[in-house]
Amino acid sequence: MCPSGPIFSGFEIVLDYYVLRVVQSPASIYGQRHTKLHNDEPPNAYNLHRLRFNLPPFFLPRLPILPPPTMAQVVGQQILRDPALFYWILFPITIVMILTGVLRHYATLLLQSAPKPLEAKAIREQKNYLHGINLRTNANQIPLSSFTSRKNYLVQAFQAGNFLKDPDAKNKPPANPMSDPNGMDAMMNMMKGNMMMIVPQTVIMGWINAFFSGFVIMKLPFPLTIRFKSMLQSGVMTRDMDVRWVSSLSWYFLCLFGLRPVFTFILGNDNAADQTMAQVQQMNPQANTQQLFGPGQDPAKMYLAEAENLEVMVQHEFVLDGIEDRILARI
Amino acid sequence: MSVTSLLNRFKSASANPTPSESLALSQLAPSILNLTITDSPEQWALYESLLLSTLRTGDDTSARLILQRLSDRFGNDNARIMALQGIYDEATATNNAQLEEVLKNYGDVLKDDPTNIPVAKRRITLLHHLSKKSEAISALATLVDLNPTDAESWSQLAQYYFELSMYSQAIFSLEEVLLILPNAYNIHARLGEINYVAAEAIGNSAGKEVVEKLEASLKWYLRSVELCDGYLRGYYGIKTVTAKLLESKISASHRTIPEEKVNKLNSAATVQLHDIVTGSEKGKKGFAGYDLAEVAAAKELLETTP
Repeated sequence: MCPSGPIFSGFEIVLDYYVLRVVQSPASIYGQRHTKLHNDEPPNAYNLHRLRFNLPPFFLPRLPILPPPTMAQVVGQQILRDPALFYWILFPITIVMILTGVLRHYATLLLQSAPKPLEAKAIREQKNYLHGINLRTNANQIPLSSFTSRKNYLVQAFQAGNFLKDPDAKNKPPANPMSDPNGMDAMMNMMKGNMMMIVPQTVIMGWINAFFSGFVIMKLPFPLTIRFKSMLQSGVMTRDMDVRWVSSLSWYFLCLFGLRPVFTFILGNDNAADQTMAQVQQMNPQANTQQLFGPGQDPAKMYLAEAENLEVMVQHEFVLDGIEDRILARI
Repeated sequence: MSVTSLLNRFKSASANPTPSESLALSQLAPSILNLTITDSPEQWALYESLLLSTLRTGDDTSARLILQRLSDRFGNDNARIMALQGIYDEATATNNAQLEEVLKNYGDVLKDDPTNIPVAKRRITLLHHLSKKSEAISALATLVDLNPTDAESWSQLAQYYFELSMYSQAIFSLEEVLLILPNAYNIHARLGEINYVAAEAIGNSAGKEVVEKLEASLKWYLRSVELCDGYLRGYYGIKTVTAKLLESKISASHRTIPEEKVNKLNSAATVQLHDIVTGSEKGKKGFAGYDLAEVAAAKELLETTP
């Protein structure tokens, strides 16, 4: 089962069907560099692979002698993997990913500055805007006369800009969001968060690329379609390898996106370790900040729009109309 | 006991606990304070509730300790902690001069930071307590101008106006609450009550205005029981208002709800009240949780008016 040199030459063509196997201990990569072929070695795919990963010649991949495939039979791919692959690649990547997540969580907590409380005028501006929306949505809860008087008052006040933070800015173009100190603060926070994502990811990916690139480390217990190949076998450029084989770089990506339950288990629900969470939060900034008017939005215009919305409300159906009949019908 | 079960005990207590209830809650203090601090939101909510209970029962030493732990965790300049500190100062004050001192402190805090809503609210309640009612109302009006979407401020304002017999203002404030919380059945019933009292205040005549107010009151009550089946206060109100509408000599031209419907509503409310009273007294399933004082009042109403 351990054929020596000459036998290989006969199998060069089949190599693409049987796929490289990587059975050597990864510890060998830390040793001497092996950049030359042996004198009597014909350059073939195995040798080139060995050179690419600096493997010593005595770690020649072993190849079982198999009959060449016929057109009719589907080739089941077999790769003998050294258990050391598990201990030295799969396990370390997972552990490092978890530890980085935990570290990122605490670093984010440390770096985040508390949102600055709003000024009284800003609160007034936002809440009165909400008041208008409330009146519009729940108009039917109050009598028509109450509604009309409120509507008239709010429309007049909204149009006059009585609730604006600075009424003078009504006719000016909206200020540049970059010059707004509040906006700067928010942007700074966002950038800190992004850096917390980008820096560790770059470092870890570099580390994996430098040390573990090209290893096939596990086989998924279920078949997948060819589309998953780029996802699962990044770093291993073998055209005909089955999609079920997962490379080390792909394992890194799977860890990156799939560790959320683990972080939830370790750190609790609203942790900052998982980057997908952060992305969701970036998507709807209104949900967790008290800023109603985002930077760049002109409150004066929003007030005018709301005044118009109120003005065009003509239909008013008081919920108390006919309530006695509704109750009598129910009893 | 765990934090959650303790917190549930506080949550299940009524909003205006009787002295014995407060005492029972306040006596949980040692077991709560001996729990290890896990820094969970529930635990701090528990601490806050316990602080109020201990202050009610005069356990000032425990209250001091709780407040100390809260301010150690959240800092003395936290708005909420400042308000709790204020409550402690108010509760431990022995005379009006000390209360005035607390009031002055609130004023100083608000001068630095007018957006400190908890302290602003404490200041308003203290003003009201010190019988400076118009000042309290004007301070509350500034607060609702700052934040007109705060239901608590509006309902408090309605209460203050009601106490001064300014019924239309009180109704206006409660309508604002409804704009924020459209399904608050207790607020609907409260609107019914205020309309009823306003009708009473006009006089005993059967004029058009009185009938209008009584019918408005009836409708608000009806809405409250529409939103909440078995709302004792709502049925009580329906029964009272319909009785009023039936007894007074009201010409049919003033009415918008015909007399037969009023009659039917009256008997329906009587039946419901009867159900609630007997169900609650016998401890039937589905009739738990009624305020005993309210049930007693309903029973009395049923006995006096057939």
